[in-house]
Amino acid sequence: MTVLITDGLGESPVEPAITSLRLARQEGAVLQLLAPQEIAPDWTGDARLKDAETGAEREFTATPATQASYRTALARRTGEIERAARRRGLRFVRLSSDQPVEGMVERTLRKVGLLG
Amino acid sequence: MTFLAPAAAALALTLPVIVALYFLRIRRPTRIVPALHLWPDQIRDRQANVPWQRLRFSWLLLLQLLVAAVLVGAAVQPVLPAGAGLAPHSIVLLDASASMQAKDVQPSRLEEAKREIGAMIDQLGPQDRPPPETTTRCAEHWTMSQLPTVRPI
Repeated sequence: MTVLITDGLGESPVEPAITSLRLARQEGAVLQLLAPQEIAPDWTGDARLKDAETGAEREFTATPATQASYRTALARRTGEIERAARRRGLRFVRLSSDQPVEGMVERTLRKVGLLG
Repeated sequence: MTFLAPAAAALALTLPVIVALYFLRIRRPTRIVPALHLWPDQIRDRQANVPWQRLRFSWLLLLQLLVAAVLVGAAVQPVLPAGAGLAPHSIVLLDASASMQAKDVQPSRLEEAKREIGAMIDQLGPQDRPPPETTTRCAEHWTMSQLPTVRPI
């Protein structure tokens, strides 16, 4: 059994990783782990956004409209990952990092029936 | 047009200062995000984002410059000279002696002087008070109602 824990937000898609899991005939699950401020950013105003992975920066002005646009893009990305996982027979669960990390993976796997 | 406070024109220096402030780089706090590509490409164009970038049209900048220009215009106190420039309270003395009956000016010096006084009263502004009465130096005495061209104010 293989469990893929990812935020799924990298520029490169996670679908190849999901496909390779299936090709290895692995039973498993994809757990998307996001921080609360990633799920629903609650700030507005001027900022310099810096990509945590690539280090790229961009001037930005956050408004309620841009935050809604971000949440829509995030939901679309999450939906793509979930569909890719389910299409290949894998479980998919979205987790928030505000929950206790200890035992989170084990509890989740029990919940989706991968652990007895 | 003249200005009562021309020194206040120095306040016009605020206009280039406003433009200079537009050029100053805005300080933005850095926020780490996991996926920059998920964020829409939006930036409020109210201030320059790089130092001394080319001046771009901005309604806000235009409004600020306009307000500053109006305030400077008011501070220099422009005035338009009106008519004879009478004081708020004016007294008109009219010589009614015999020599004023001379006909070298038609119909007479006295009648011409009365016409001039009437024209002067016509030029008074709403804040000015007309002469309450017009008197001769010696004997004769006119009241406002007797002046031929007096206009009610």
